This record gives sequence, structure tokens and C-alpha cells, in this order.
Amino acid sequence: MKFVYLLSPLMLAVLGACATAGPSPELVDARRAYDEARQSSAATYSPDKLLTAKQALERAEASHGDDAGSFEEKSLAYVAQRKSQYATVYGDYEKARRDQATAAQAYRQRQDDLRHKAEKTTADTQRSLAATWDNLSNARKEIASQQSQIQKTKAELDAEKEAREKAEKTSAAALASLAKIAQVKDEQRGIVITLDGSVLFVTGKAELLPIARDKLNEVAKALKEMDDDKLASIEGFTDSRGADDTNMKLSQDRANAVRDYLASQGVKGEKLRAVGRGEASPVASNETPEGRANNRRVEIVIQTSAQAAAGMKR
Amino acid sequence: MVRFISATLLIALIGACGGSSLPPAKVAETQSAISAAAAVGADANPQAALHLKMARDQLKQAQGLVNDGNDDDARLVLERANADAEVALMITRESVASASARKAEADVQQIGTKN
Repeated sequence: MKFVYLLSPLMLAVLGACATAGPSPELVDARRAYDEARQSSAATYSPDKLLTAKQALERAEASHGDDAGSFEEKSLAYVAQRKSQYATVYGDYEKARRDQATAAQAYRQRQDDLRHKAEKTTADTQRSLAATWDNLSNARKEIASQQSQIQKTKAELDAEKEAREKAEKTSAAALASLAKIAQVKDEQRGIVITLDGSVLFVTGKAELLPIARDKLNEVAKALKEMDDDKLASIEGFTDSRGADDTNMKLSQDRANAVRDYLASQGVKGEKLRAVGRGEASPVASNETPEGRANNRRVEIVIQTSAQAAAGMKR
Repeated sequence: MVRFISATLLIALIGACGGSSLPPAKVAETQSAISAAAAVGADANPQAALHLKMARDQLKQAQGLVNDGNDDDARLVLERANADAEVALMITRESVASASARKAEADVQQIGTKN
């Protein structure tokens, strides 16, 4: 029982001593900070700083063991807490730097991708543009060629028009001079030059009088001025005296005589056609000498091929 | 240069007082960390600024303890100052690095949406 009484104050004393030897708030903070640091990115990114923190904590713990509650323990614990904090922040710092490097690498990669894409698009556009340009160039050449053709055609038309006008003028001049020696009329069947039969032939014959040659020379001159597409139909007529057959033959012979003479004067033979019409188509009465004289005639009809075709039907 | 002269002067002053001195290398290291933290903008970061203030205050306190002839406590306080200075510097650096990383990641996000 005495032993118990002796023991109890001793235990209390020991317990009391243990109570004062508890860790300082600084040491508690240091331990917690170290635990946090171990859980942080410091373990991965700054193990050396973590080791430094651990060593600092061990110093503080040792000091606590040597002289619990001392200023040294508190100071070393304070330092240990800061070292753990430093290790944690350093881990965050390293992680941030690596994150930044990774992001920068991704950024560069993306930039490269975009640049390659843009370069491809540019190349495609340039090719497309070049193709369009070629098409445009070809179209321009085509237009230029067509314009050139139009110019040429226009020039040809102008030349043709000029030639035709000149020919018409010459033809008109020739006809005008013909009008002095013969009757010239513009009819539906063509331009009709009427030569008086009595001036051309001996009565009842198909031989040309000498004076007829002068007149026919003028006619030949006019016919040679004709356009190439014109034909000359030489038509012989008689009055109503005598037999029809005789008149028909005489008119044909006279038309032939005129045709032959004109051909001999250089008028192209293929453009000349001789037709005997006998006493048909009188232009005046056969009852009077004047009328009969007018009916005895040779008509030279200058006509187009269409007019000639229509004349053949008559 | 000014910083170097200040640090040297401080070391000289601390060394001259009381016939005892703080470890010059530790003082220089602490002063250097304080200057570096201030240079990277610790004063503009509340948490870093707090540690920087503690570092400065404790450096002065250490000097005072030397003057009082309490060299042992002075060395301990100098260690505290040094630890705070290093934490202030690292908090500031980490803050800048994190901001840069966030910006870089945002840039990647942004460029990622382009065709």
C-alpha cells in the first residue's frame, strides 16, 4: 500500500514531464506541412527538395527530443515547415513549367498543321487560278480569232460591196449609153433592151446590117460589164405578116445572129441564150405600118438566173 | 550592384556588432533570396509578400540578437529568415509559371478551334 502511495506521485511527475514535452505548434505545423508535401507534386517533380524538407524536419524532431519546447525546436520546426512548403511550391512550379512546355509544343504542332493546311489550300487555289487563267487566255484567243475573222469578213463584204457598186455604176453607165441607141426598160423579167428590127436586119432576112454592128457593139460592151450571175436572153420577134412557122424560124435565126455576133465581140457564150418568139407578144398593133415596125424587134433581156428560169417557162 | 553593396554592408555591420557575427554566407544567401523575390514581383503577390516581410523582419531580428550577444538564437532566426525568403521567391516564380502555363494552354485551346 505504501508502495502504491509512493508510486503515484512519481507517475504523476513523469506524466507531468511528458505533458510539457509535447510537440510545439511549430513542430505540429512542420509535420503536417511535410505530409502535405509528400502528397503533392513535389514527390514527382522535386524529390530533392522533399528530401531537404525531410532532413529539416528530422533536425526539428531531434531538437524536440533533446530539448522539447525550446526556441531551437520551434525555430527548426519553423524552418522545416518552410522547407516543406518550399518543396510543395517547387513541385507546382516544375509542373507548371512542364505543362507550359507541353502546351507550347502542342501549339507549335497545331501551328505547323495549320500552316501546312494553308499552304495546301494556297497551292490548290493557285492551281485552280492557273487553270482559270488558261481558260481565260484561250477564250481571249478565241475571241481575238473571231474578231479577226469578223474584220476579215467585213473587209471582204466591204470589198464586195465596193466592187458591186462599181460594177453597178459601170453597168448603169453602159445601160445609159445604150439608152441613146435603144429602148431600155426595167421590167419584172429583167432589164429589157429593145432594138428596132428594121435597123438590124434586111427585111425577111436574118443577116445583120452594117449599122447593126455599131449598135450591137454598144450592147456587147454593156453585157461584158454585167455581173457574173446575170444572163442575157436574146429574143427575136416579128410582125404578124407571113406564116407563123416562117415568122418563128426568122425570129429564131435573127436571135441566133445577134447572139453569135455578141459572142464574137467577147460576151461569154454561156451567158447568152437565143430564143425565137415569132409574132407572139406584140408591143403594138399589127394593123398599122408603125405598129408592125415596132413589133419587128429584138429584145435583149438581162436577167438573173432566177428570172431566166422563170422566163424559160413562158 | 547596389544590392551587392547593400548585402556586403549588412554583413559587415552584423559582423562588426558585439564581437560576434552571423555566418556571412547564410546572410548573403538570405539577402540574395530577398532581393530576387522582390525583383520577380513578390511584393505584388499577397502570400509571397507576407513571407518576404517575415524574411526581412527576421533578418533584422537576427541582427538585433547578435547585438544583444545572443548568437545562438540569432543563427536560428537567420535560418527562419532564409527559409521565408526562399519560400517568397518560389511562390512568386510558381505564380508566374502557372500563369504562363494557363495562357499557353488557353492559346492551344484557341488555336485548336481554328480550321
